[in-house]
Amino acid sequence: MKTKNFLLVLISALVHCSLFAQDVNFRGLDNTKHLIGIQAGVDYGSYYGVSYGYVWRNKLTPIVIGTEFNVPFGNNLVDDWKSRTSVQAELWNYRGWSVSARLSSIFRRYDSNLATMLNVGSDFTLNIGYAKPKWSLIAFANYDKPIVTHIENKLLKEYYPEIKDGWYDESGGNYKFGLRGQVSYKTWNAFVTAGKQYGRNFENNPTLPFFAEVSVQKRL
Amino acid sequence: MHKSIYFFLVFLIAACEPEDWSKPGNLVPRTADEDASVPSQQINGTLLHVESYGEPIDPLIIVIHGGPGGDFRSLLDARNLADDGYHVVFYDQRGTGLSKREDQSQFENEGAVDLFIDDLDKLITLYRFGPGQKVFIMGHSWGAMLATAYINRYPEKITGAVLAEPGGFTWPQTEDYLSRSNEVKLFREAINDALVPESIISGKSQDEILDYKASFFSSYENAPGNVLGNAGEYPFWRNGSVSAEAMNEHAEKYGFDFTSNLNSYTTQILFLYSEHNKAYGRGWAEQVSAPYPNVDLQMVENCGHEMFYFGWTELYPKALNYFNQLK
Repeated sequence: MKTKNFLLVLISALVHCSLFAQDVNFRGLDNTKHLIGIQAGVDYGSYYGVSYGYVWRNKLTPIVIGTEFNVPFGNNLVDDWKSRTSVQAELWNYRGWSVSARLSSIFRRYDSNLATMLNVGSDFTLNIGYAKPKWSLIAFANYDKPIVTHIENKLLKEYYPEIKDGWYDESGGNYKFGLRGQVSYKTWNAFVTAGKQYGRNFENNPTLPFFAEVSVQKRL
Repeated sequence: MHKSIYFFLVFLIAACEPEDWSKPGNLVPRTADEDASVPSQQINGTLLHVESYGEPIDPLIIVIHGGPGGDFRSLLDARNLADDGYHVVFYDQRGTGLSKREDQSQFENEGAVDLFIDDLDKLITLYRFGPGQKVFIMGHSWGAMLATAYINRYPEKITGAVLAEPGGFTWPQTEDYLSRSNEVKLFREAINDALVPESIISGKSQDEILDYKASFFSSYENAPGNVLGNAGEYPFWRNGSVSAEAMNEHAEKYGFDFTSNLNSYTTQILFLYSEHNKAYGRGWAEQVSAPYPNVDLQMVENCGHEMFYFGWTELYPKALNYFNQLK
């Protein structure tokens, strides 16, 4: 299992170092090939980050392959971070109504004086809404599943020397339900996202139950 | 050859199964019911982690930890009082520390606080050597609130009390204090250190997982620049996440008032507040201690809220002098 976990981490790290992902209005892509963005928000604390998306055009539907990289606000710049690599496509549209889906792999690191965690996970997002070339309003549901986590305890090991470091199996999951609004001006997009999140069992929910994000995107 | 490699890979994968977050002992210590080496007592229908120091015939001091959901590990310097002729007893409250976990329903009922008062009463009865033995209680934070709830119920049973920064003796008062002590600063490293683990550990209800996750959340109050004035982290055994959350919800739902009978307790109490806790101070100490008729209000210098751990050298002579006067 260690071997499998190591490969998972390695592949995920390589992929995440080379790609970036993105919020997308499929009605407003025109001839866009690249999407470059910055974002800031609140989600288990506060964060900011950058994103990139590549628009792959084919005979069926445009597919956006990309990633985003976020770090929390705070004194230590890269002790914690989260990156997400995703593939997303519009599945259906009719007179402005649109259904799209995104499948992502997630790689995150947490570090404090108590412990360091490296986690590999995945998430799936279903978007349903109304989109015009210059604006869109989308409702979405997301499920984020942490799959495997490596824990190295620090201060917690001093308090409890028998504590076990190493790889740990799946540790639950969480749902996000939210709305995303978007407006365009020339080749620029602005997105505002907000919603509520729950633990997988809807009982053990995050301390900050809400999330929000503001992002600005340049289409190239 | 291929079969050998395949067999080796299968063996490697099988031998390295990932750990289970919820397996007892993996991420949080085993509790008294899981580990026979933990000193414990059957009290009021549960198994409490209890440690005692000194001679049983000496005046009894019961030390009550904070939380709800904390444990007494950071208060252990108080065992020095055993060398001064006291029998010092520490216990982890119901469902927390190394005491046995209890079902959430115990902490949700309207009588949950009464259960904690009953546990303390049974503990005093168990450790009291005889009817002539004097009984003191020394509580920190929530422990000082619980001590007051006990005095409010049984004023005749307590010889004296040392109370260190109880948030409040009524729920509105405690809410007021918590709004200052738990102030959230969203763009600080501390809040991310406390909350980001929830993005990895989420939506699972096993106690061991919740207790481990609570370790990170509890670190918020000790981060650099914290309101409470704590100099850093302090040791603990296990955060009782279920009891902590349920007791907080209980207070929000039912409220409490531990002051209704305090005017009958005319013995002087020693009320301590710390120099560095920005959410407390002398003004708040005067307000909280006001229902007691006879109060000796003293500041513990050079420390914050966790004064038993970071300020024991300052706290110790004040407490000892108080106990010796009533001994």
